Amino acid sequence: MNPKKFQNKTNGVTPRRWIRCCNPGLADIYRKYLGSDEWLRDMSKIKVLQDKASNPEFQKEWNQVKIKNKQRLADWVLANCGVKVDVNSIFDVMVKRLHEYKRQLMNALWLAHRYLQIKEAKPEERKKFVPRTSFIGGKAAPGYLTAKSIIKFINCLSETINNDTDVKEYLKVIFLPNYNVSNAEIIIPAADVSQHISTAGTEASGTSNMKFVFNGSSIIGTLDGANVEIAQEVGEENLFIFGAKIEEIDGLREKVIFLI
Amino acid sequence: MRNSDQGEYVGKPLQKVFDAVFSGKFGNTQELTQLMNTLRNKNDHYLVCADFASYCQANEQVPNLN
Repeated sequence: MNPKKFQNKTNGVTPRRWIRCCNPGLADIYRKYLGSDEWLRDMSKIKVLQDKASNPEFQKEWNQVKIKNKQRLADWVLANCGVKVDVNSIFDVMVKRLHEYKRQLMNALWLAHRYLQIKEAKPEERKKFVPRTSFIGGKAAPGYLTAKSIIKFINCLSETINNDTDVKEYLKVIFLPNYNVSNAEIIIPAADVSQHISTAGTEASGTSNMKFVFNGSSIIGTLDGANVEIAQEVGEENLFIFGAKIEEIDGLREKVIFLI
Repeated sequence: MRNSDQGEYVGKPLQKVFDAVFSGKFGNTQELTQLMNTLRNKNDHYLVCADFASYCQANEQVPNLN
């Protein structure tokens, strides 16, 4: 009857909400350089902007929009969490439902590792650590004890790190409360880099990875879910891909069982 | 693939983080120790320890973004 009318797509996000509504500055840049709003219907139209990547004027406008979005999140964080963050630091964001398979715990452990490294370094050596602000947000299901403990751990880290005078200049950790769509519209446009680090083979697609790349954020991620397709589209050299691949997972699980 | 070594699997940087948690550096020692035990003693179903070293490398590359 209508073969084109009904098609299945597992997951998706719309550029109307996740670019034009939440990031009007970026939408203005797209309109200016593409001459219309046609990209809202067909995102492949923005491909021509690749030629502008090395254009200084375009870069300047792009960075101005990013800084403005970072300032908007910084103001939100000051109002809701009472922490002052530096908009010139790298904004590293991980916002998604709290679950062991998504590995927010691995991110938290890395932050603890980073904290220990900075703490151990001599004051003059600390300059080599590029300042970074890590935002983690998400809700846990009410009865999911481990997920609740992960939130506790992140808040404990936040307390220790943000109040340590040796370290707070180089690293800050913020747990973003009440993650929902309205707050996501403030959080996502501000990211420099975002984390999508589920164990390979566990994430069906994921949609926040799409929202972040819409807003010009890079991805630290595993080859899992839609990260695989994003890597194909934007080129693996533009993402930070790491970790075990799906064909290695079974062997590693067997190794864990036989640990002594 | 029998009897792989626990210390080697966890790795030194991560063990150091575990030790800091056990020593109470981040407070709430009992609850956080229980949380760390979801990764230790053959429990690491989501392979956090296995990916940790390459995850650190990926994170350290981020400042080279531009």
